[in-house]
Amino acid sequence: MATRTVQVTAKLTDINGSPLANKSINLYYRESGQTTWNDIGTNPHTTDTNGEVTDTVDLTAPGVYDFRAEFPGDADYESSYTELLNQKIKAKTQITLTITPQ
Amino acid sequence: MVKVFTFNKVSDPTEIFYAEPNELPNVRISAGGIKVLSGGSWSKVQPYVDRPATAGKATSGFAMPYRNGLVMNIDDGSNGMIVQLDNRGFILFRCLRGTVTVPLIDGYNYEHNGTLSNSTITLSAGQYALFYKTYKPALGTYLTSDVESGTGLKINVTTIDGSSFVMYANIGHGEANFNPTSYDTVDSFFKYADGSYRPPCLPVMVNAWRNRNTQQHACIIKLRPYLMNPYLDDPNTGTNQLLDNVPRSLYVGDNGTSFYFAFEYDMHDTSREHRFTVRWVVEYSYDPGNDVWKVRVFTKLHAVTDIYNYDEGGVTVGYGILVHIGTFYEDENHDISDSYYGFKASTGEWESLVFSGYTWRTGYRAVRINASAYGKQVYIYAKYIAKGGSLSLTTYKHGRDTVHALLDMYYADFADKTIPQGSITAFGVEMWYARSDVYEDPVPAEADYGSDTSFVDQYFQEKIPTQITLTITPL
Repeated sequence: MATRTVQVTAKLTDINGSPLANKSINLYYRESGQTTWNDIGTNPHTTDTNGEVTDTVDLTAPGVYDFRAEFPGDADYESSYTELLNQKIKAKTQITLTITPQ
Repeated sequence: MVKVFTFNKVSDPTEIFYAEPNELPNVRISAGGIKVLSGGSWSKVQPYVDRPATAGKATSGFAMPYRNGLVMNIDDGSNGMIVQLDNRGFILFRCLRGTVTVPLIDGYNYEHNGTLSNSTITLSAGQYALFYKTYKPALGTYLTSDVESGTGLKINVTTIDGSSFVMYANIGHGEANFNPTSYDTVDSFFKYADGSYRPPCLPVMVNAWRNRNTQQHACIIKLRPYLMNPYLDDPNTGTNQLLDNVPRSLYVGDNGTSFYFAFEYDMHDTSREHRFTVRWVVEYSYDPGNDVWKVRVFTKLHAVTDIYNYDEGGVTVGYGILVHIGTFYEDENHDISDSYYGFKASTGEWESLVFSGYTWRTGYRAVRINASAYGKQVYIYAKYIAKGGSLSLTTYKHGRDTVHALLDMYYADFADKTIPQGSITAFGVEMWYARSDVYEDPVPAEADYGSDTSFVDQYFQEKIPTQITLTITPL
């Protein structure tokens, strides 16, 4: 099967929605049903001024995957994480159109 | 620092008190088990250990914290289960032996592989029932997979029925072995450099019924080593002694080299509610170079009303920090053979001491014992390290009881006397548990923080909660 590149973006905020910059975020993925998480890129990622980190991962498609982002916490902020489970990653398709004048 | 649960205190006609976690509505924890709101009524999850009708004790199991919750082992002698209570809004029941029955919990989705009949799920050994609100976790062999496959403090658990599994507290570093297969032996150990496990096991808590004389006493989640609460009356009169340990909140945290559990309690009894509040912290670290588990225990007591701290020389010990007790379930009549030394504050020298039965001594800034029990030797060195609050703490005191295998350290300034309403006192003790006689000479003096008690309060400072939004975009 083919692979497909998936962009993963995580945004870290406090409970008021204010973005948190320069914080470490770990990004993971796994095939749904598996128990072990795999790194996306090189963890940890550091949030930008918008509180965001972005990386990409090449996945076999079609397939069903889980994604996870976690903030381990620091001296001032609690840890948190979120998961997107059972995400269907479709394979790209293409159509080749030919015309044949008779 | 993470607050795992905030508990509400709930009284009940058939129990003394319940702890009701805010994060898991419609779920209550008692010393004997768990009740759930099902069809608008509170129903017991079986097995459930009822409180004793007469004098005696009825232990029900253990509770161990991890970053998001608690794992509890509840067993009535024939039927057993582990229960995972998680602040992400789910509760997992796993039957270990016999039969477990779980009423459907109002307001939760559920999944199970048992038998559902009349709104009750019946489980046999190995089966589970998961109740969740929004977040549905992946399951492992016993617990959720994240707890069984994480990193951090590794805890090898043997349940009362002998089932064994590994869980990760996801905090700190180190390894502990927890094996409460018998009420009568020291079966809980820290792991040392030689691979052996020795008592006592510390990162665990008990939920248990127990009583002394005629007064029933519920411990709903209690740290070990634990706080020796003030006796409010003479414990020999049978009127009122130890108070129920119902937590108000639980925190867990780590600083990279140590991890800690911190509790707040409102202490009360059925006739005189809310007599005092107490904060209670146990912080653990393992020093591989010296092969020593170091445990720092801090406590802070706030007398909401006048309280009387009964401390009868020869029979009881007062409010203090228990350094060692022989058995996990607080069983008595377990002899230990050991040596016994005290560091005299006035001379700055270690003295060899002798005890016989109950022994009380004042003036020693530190103590050492060699607690040899059940074929295991562990050397314990304990010293006062901090004090603060509104009471002047000047006189070191400790109670030593070889028969009951306990060592209680406290200040005589609040022992056997009334602690006036509004008083705040705080202090800390550091203990080293080692395979050899490791200690300091001379013993450094404790830090005196005056009226400041932030050395305890710092553990209860909540961090700012965060949240993550995750999006994926196939390119």
